[in-house]
Amino acid sequence: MSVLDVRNLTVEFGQRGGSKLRAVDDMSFALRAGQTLALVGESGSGKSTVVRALAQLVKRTSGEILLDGAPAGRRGKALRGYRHRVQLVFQDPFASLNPMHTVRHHLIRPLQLRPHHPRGDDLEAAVHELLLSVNLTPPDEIARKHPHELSGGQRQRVAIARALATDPDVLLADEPVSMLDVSIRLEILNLLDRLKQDRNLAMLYVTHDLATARHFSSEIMVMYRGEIVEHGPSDEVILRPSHPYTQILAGAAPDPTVSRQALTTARRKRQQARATRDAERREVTVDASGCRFRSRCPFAMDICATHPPDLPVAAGHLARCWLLSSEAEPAGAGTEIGQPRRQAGR
Amino acid sequence: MSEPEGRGAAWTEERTVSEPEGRGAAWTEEPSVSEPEGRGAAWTEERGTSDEGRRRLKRAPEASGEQSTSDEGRRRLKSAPEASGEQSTSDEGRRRSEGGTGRWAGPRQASGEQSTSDEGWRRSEGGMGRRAGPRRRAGDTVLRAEHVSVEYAGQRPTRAVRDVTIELRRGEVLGIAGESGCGKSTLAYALTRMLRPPARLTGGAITFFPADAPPVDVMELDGEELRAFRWNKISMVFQSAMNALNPVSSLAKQFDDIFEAHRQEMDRPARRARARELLDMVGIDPARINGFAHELSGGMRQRVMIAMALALEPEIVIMDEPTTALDVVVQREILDEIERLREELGFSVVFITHDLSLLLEISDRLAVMYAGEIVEQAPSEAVGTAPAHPYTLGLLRSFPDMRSARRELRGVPGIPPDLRDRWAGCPFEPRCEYRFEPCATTHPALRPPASRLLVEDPALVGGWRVACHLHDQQYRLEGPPDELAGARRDEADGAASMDGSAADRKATADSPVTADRAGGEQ
Repeated sequence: MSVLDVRNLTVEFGQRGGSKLRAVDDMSFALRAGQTLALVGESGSGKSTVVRALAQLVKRTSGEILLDGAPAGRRGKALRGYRHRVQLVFQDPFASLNPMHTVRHHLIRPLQLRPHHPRGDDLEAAVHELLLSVNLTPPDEIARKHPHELSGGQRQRVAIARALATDPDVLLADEPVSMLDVSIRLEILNLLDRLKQDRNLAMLYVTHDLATARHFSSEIMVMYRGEIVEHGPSDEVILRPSHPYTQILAGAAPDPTVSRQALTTARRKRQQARATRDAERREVTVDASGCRFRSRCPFAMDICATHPPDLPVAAGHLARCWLLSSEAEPAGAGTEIGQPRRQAGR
Repeated sequence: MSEPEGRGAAWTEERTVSEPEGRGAAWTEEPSVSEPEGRGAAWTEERGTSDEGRRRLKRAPEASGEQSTSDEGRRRLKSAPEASGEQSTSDEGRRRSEGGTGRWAGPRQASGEQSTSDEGWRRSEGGMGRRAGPRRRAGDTVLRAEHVSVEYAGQRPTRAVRDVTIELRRGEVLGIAGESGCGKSTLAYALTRMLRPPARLTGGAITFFPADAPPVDVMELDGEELRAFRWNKISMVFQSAMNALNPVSSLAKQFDDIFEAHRQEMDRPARRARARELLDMVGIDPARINGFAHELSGGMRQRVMIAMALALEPEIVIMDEPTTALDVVVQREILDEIERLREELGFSVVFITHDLSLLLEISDRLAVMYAGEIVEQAPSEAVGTAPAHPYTLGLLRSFPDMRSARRELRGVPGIPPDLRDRWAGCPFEPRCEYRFEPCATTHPALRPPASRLLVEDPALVGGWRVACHLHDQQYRLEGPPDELAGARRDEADGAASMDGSAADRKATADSPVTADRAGGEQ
């Protein structure tokens, strides 16, 4: 059962000179209770804009957001009601907490926004409960502290507790661990994972780290320049990427298990491929129509000038690439598709 | 001559006195490895003399009337034909190389500290027959930092780097890993002598072994010498390339700054041509030379930073988190670029990052730092397959593996200690799941690990060191637990390595951890 349904979401930003920048282009997906959907992509691909549009921090140009089947309120009381149920954890815990306020203050404010909110001792108890739910102990002591007295991991826990204060159904986590130290990233991710299960949250996990995306989500969406190029079960997408972009992403992630010799060969190959592509790229000017990835795509062909449809790879696994279409027989390149990763990706 | 006679001597004395035991050994080897007979004899004569003698040694170049400043000396040596110093046949040649070594190695030599335990392992590392004379080969040591300590002044000083000894070999990538606040960057700044108050180098020795000149004691460089040394010999790619470029001057201007400071002899067209060449080398269109930083993407800015670091063809490039702010695809491109340039130009790299999985891939050897100390130092393959220190294992477990089976992931619970504190035992003890009795009271020294991997592949013995009592027979006769004793990581974690094949996937889905996890997700 999907909690949050996103249909044809489009976000445009005005630019100098009148033309519009389309940051998010016609995206549709659904978040389900108790499940995590990962949104991966390079910087500038529009991941954060999606999150902001879902939290209604930026206005969507068109498209619909349905919360439990009902259209999301866009202003006033309806918007506030929506925000109670859809909460956001920001990337930078150093910036997302107010340095002037104590932890208690950060948690009490959202608690007091609830209708019939607890008061007095009940309020304190609610704060303690929130702190305990994110493993911040002892709660008394933590509640009295200011953000600067906490480590990055503790701050992010406070930010998570704050997001939980309104008892949301949907949690949008925008790169929740990228600013944290490696050794504590997993604790935070495990915490989010546990909370998701305990509270039956529908979670959107935005990241550029494919490995954690695979481990902490059931489905992965890969975003490239504002559109979803591949969407499917996480193992499918990572282990058998179908879109050339996903293949490049998967191939680019460091993999300590590969031998050094394999690395060197892979590197040589990449460098050659890059050299020829660079030469070609100078000729091609990318226009708005057609596949956005084609200027970087190792398998680009004529048909790519036409915008590709979503094509099925396997059950629940879609990729937006002409290579998967029977209409387009690529010259020699098609054989690589469908084979798991590296050969093509690296 | 910029420094007065007396001061040099004073320095020498001070350093000799404060040096810990065992350091001398490294130096004594210096002349003995490949020196011609005659030279060795010269040394014996000088050895063990009084302060006066030491001063004489130190000032040897001057006495010989050949080199008035060391900088000039170095330059001259550099310009001298290879052959001249290789095996000093002519009298002149000998005197020259003697002068050089005299200045740098002499004081320590004279201090009379001879054979110590250190000597043994240095030898055993092999392949580093250091020569005082020119022409060092790949595998030789190019930079050695010994017992370096750095403090940030304060009411209770922060001891950010604690007695760190590292050695960088020619043409290799040495990785330094650790979480933030462990002293990685401070160490990098110390190596280039770029620390500014309140940071202070409180001890140690840093020696640079140029390809074509006698060793240089980096700690003693001062003023003009130091300025000339930086960027010429060691350059740096700074953290957050996004902000390291000047936003208000063009790239051409910023390249000019480098050449104006270090290559006064170059005229404008030559500087421009070289800058274009450098941009082209790192894969940026040379036409961008008149562009500004904001016109470039993050990856391109990082490339420009690398081009600038390579502008003077340094022998060492220190890269402080060069790819942290970039996404994986761009990161991969930058790493490829670094590797390619390194193959072409042959510089050595100190690569600092918290991303251990990346380091395992790019570095030849790596050092894991924790709370200002090196806790494990090993060839990358060893660390990747069978880490010996619990912290290294914890770090490795913090990275989900993209392709192997899903397994339970845990980070390293707890937080690092306050570097202002002093502790008697192991800095990692409070967070360590393997801690036992001596850990809280006795500080572990770096020692070869008790690892099965060493038996399988004895070549690893040379460099592999770990600071952990688990590997010390004195405390733990039975040796460390399996996962730290060379059991391959995948075995130890009980997860079969898999290659995406259906059979493997099915097998792993049956393991309890995965089943649990899958149940939660689906």
